[in-house]
Amino acid sequence: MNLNDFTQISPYRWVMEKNTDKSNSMNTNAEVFGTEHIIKAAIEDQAVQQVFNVSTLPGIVSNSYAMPDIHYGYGFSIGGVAAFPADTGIVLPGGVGYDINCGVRLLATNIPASELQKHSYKESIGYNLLSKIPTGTTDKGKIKLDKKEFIKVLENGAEEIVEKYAKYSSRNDLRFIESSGKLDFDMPGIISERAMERGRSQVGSLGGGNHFLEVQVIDEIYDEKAAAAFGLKKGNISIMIHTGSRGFGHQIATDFIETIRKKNISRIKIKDPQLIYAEIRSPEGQHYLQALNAASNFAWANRHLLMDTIIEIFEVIFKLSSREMGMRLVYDQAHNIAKFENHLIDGKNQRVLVHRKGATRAFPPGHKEIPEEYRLVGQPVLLPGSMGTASYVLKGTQKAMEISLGSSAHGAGRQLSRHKALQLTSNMDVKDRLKKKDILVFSFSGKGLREEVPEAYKEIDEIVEVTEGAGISDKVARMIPLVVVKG
Amino acid sequence: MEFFETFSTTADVGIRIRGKGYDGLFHSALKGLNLLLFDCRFDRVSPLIASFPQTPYPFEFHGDSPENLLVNFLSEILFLIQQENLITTGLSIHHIDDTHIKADLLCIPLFELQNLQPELEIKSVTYHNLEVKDHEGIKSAEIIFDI
Repeated sequence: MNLNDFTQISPYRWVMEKNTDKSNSMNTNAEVFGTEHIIKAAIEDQAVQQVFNVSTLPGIVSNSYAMPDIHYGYGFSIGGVAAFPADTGIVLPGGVGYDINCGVRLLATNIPASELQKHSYKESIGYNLLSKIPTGTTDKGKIKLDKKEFIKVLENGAEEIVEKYAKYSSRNDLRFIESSGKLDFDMPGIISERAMERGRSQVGSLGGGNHFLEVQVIDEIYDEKAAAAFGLKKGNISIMIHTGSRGFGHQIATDFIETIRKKNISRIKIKDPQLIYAEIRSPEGQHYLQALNAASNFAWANRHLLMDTIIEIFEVIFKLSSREMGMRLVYDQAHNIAKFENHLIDGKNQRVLVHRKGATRAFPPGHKEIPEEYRLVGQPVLLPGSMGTASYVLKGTQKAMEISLGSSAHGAGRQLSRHKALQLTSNMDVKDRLKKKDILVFSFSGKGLREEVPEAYKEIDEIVEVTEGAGISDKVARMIPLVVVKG
Repeated sequence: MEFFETFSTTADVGIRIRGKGYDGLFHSALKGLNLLLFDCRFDRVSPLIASFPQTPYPFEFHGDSPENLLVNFLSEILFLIQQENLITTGLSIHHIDDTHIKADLLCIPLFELQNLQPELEIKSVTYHNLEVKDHEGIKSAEIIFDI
């Protein structure tokens, strides 16, 4: 596969058309949003081949898309988006990933960043976050639930945390979570004992890898109206949480890939065994979708409890109430999920199951699924950078509905493998280097930090350039990290 | 004959393993996974392993292919580490063929080994490009892990 297989239909859109496919296996077009540099890199690391593989799946509607933070995954590429008819289509665990509802939550405050510098609060915040929030692989969550309590979390998601466990949030917060932090789940019998066991002890934990907590300063506003609607003010602190469904979601994905494999063994010789799928209407398809919803609810509950702990830490350090600090949830957004949505495809309004793997929803102004307060400006789209670079808040657009199934990028996207990142940093003190840029990093894992060094990620500014240039989301604000806690 | 090494793709990591028959392949898989999880720190604590009793943890799986066995075998070892805080330091295989493995995973609590902790969080074992190959009785495979 090479660049000549694609037609550049606009400065940031590259399409491989179905009718140019010599293998005659594409069922729809494959489309990548990116600069020439991005698409060349994605061709080289085989990610574009994965976008092509998805285009060959049965029943796919619209295009097989990849967002500008595309990189090699398994099954779908990271950044992959694809939709299938809700009634006759298929569902793929490989189109969601193992960390179901991995996502990002952003909190705004009215604390000026200068307060942090003035009182040397940065160290205090970092130490407290690292010591009070469970991080890493084997650490357990803030609360240990019995099975009955845990099932209620799976059924009710973030709402259960608000009702039973949170000290600092109210039902009003739920409106600022995608899908209100709760998807339909009423089949606890399909969840394995092993998944239950892993999940019961992990609510309120960060995990490891690329998951993080970040205290940031809002250093640039690009859209005053949208920033005001989102409660973002230049110079103030914001807080970002990036984590997912932890061992519970990983176990759900593992369990159901196994179930779907067994039931569909004849399909294993498809282009990639990680693209194993089930019909949505089949028992295994229905069960996977239920389990997916349970894991999504778990992830929203997890991020909600983490937010509660963070607010508690800030109250103690600043000796102010959360209200006095103006702490509020801006938005919580999934970037590994499959959900039923309505889209205008081929001139018809269709109910489809949209898979987003390393991609975010980016709904436009006026959409009924975004909070009323944001309906004039569009849905917040949260785009975290790497730990030494900026993160962005963007807003969803009507054009995204027309050209990307209402989807946008989810972050910087890796460009270096872990081995290459370790080689690059063999003589580097990552913490010290970032400290010189006024960014304090807290982590128990030195190796993990080196693997996540900023150079391992694509330039976030290039990703933002593409999302704006292609029209799939527009810049609202930029945040710079001050304190980073890595799992 | 046994061989194992780690490698990485852009986003994920993997192990490349080889061994005589399935027995050798699965022993290499265990060693490769421990290398991936604990890096050189495993070598530092390995002299301690003999000082502690290894508790056998029975593992049996009937699958549909060697790849299916390998994924489930490695998933079990990960579960023991992540959920039970047990590191599998040895393996006693009672039976193994294309579709069936019966073995004891020999485990030690992580806290006994200077509270050894994994260097990275592996979410799952994938089937991505996974194929167990055979060349004159030497089995080999590459396994990608989602991290």
